[in-house]
Amino acid sequence: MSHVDEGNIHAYLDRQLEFAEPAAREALEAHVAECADCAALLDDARTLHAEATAVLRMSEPTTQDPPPFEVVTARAEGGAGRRTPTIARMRTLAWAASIVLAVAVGWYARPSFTNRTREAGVPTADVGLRSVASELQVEPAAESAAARGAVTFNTPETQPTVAPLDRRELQAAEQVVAAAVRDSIGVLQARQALAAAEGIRADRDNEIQALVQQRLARAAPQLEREQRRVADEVAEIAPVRARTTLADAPSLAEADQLAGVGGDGFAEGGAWREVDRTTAEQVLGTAIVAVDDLPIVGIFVPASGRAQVRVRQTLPSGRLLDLHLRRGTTAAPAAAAVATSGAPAERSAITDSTAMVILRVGELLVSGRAAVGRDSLTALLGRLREPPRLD
Amino acid sequence: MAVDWADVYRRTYTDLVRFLHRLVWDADRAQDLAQEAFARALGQTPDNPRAWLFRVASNLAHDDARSAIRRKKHLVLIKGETETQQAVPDPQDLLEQQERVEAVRRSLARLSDRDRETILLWNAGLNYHDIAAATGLSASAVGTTLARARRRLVEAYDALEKHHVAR
Repeated sequence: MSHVDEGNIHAYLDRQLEFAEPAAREALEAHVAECADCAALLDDARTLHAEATAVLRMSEPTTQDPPPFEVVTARAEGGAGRRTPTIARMRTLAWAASIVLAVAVGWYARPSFTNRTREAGVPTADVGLRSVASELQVEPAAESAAARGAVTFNTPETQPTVAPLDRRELQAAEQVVAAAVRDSIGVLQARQALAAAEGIRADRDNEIQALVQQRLARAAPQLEREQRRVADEVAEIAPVRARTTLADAPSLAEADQLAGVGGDGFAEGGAWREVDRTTAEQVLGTAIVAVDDLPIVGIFVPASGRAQVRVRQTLPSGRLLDLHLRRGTTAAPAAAAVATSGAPAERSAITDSTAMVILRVGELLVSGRAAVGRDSLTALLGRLREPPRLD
Repeated sequence: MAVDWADVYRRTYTDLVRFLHRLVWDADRAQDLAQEAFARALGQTPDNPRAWLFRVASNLAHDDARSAIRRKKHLVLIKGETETQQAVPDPQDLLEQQERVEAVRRSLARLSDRDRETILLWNAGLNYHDIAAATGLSASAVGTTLARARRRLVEAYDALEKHHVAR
């Protein structure tokens, strides 16, 4: 056998050589056993193979279970060629946002309705949801509002006729509610469920909406348990702001952020407790920092006792800024460079409407998260200071 | 012959998302494009459904990248991790993870389109036969292309690391 080429060596390492020619593997091994040059080539290739695999592994995405195949069939029936993925996603997010807003604002409004209910002797959960149904008219953002018209929740004058739905449509609606209950409108789950519903023909939208409302009402007790923390978080937002800013939220992510149910676990009940500044600084072991001139609306420490602090501030727009403070024990090169240059911000990520920036301030590692653009957030975090003491 | 796309979906979806993720660097977009590829596949009867899907997905990703450039859309680097973690993310870990992902992204960007696509297809689980069908390469050329892609990827990554340490 002549010397082996690099392509065949990689095919050998990938266990693909034998597919083309069953005896090729044995032939290559026999040659390498006798040829020092080719043996060295194989060793080098093996090292390269391992290194390349390791490099790629560093960017391995988070794996998720595939959504139901019905997502694809619904999408295809909705006209794959007529609607781009971007528009489809906008529609999905718009409807998702409307559900989030309905529940979040409904729960915000719940205390006042609870009082009324007690006076009237009506079960609380039902009225909480009915308050959403009767008082809210939430329009999904952008393109969807024009395409579907306003999404109206079950008001007497607009009560749609619920025609029988086929199995696929029924499943889609059930998924919306299941996601809402399971994860308190968890972003990913709701998106996946809504993606299934999103592909349903536009002329059935009203029926689906009505069905979703029925299911939500039926799930009220479960919602009450699972979404109490949403109510707690939203209660921090002033009533007027909750109705105006939330309704104006252009995306699910932003609504999520405003409602304080971001995916970082901050809003998880019991995981964090609010403390005063002195206690927070004792836990952290150093002085806290916050964005200069922005009001601090809460300081939190983990119930687990870890040396971390969350500082929540409000922006002039009413949006929330969350700062996560932690003492850095090992300086990452980039962060060290930031510290020595005095320029604050460095690594950032941005979604459609929320941004996260991580930086080092002295001995603290600070991650900031807010429903603003990355540049705006970076500029904001350039104003991190130790807040003045009032005493 | 009719294709059982539901079966293909079950066996291929995760691999397709992984492949797309490193082309668009956005977890949501990768899922969106994967679903779009399957939606376009329904009713089609390609000889090699799996290879056909990856080729369509690759084209969708390239179209998406061009659109993203026009929109000057920022790319998501760590959103997937932050959204799915239940615990509070550690800033130090996030920073380091983000730096690693960014280094890989930049290293892959230095490869030719052909090399990048080939190594990502292999990484997504396609065999040489499917890679050849998806890319138009001959099966015998896949090994050579992969060897070159791996070398260039590692060299690019090492160069970035040296630059990083020197800073």
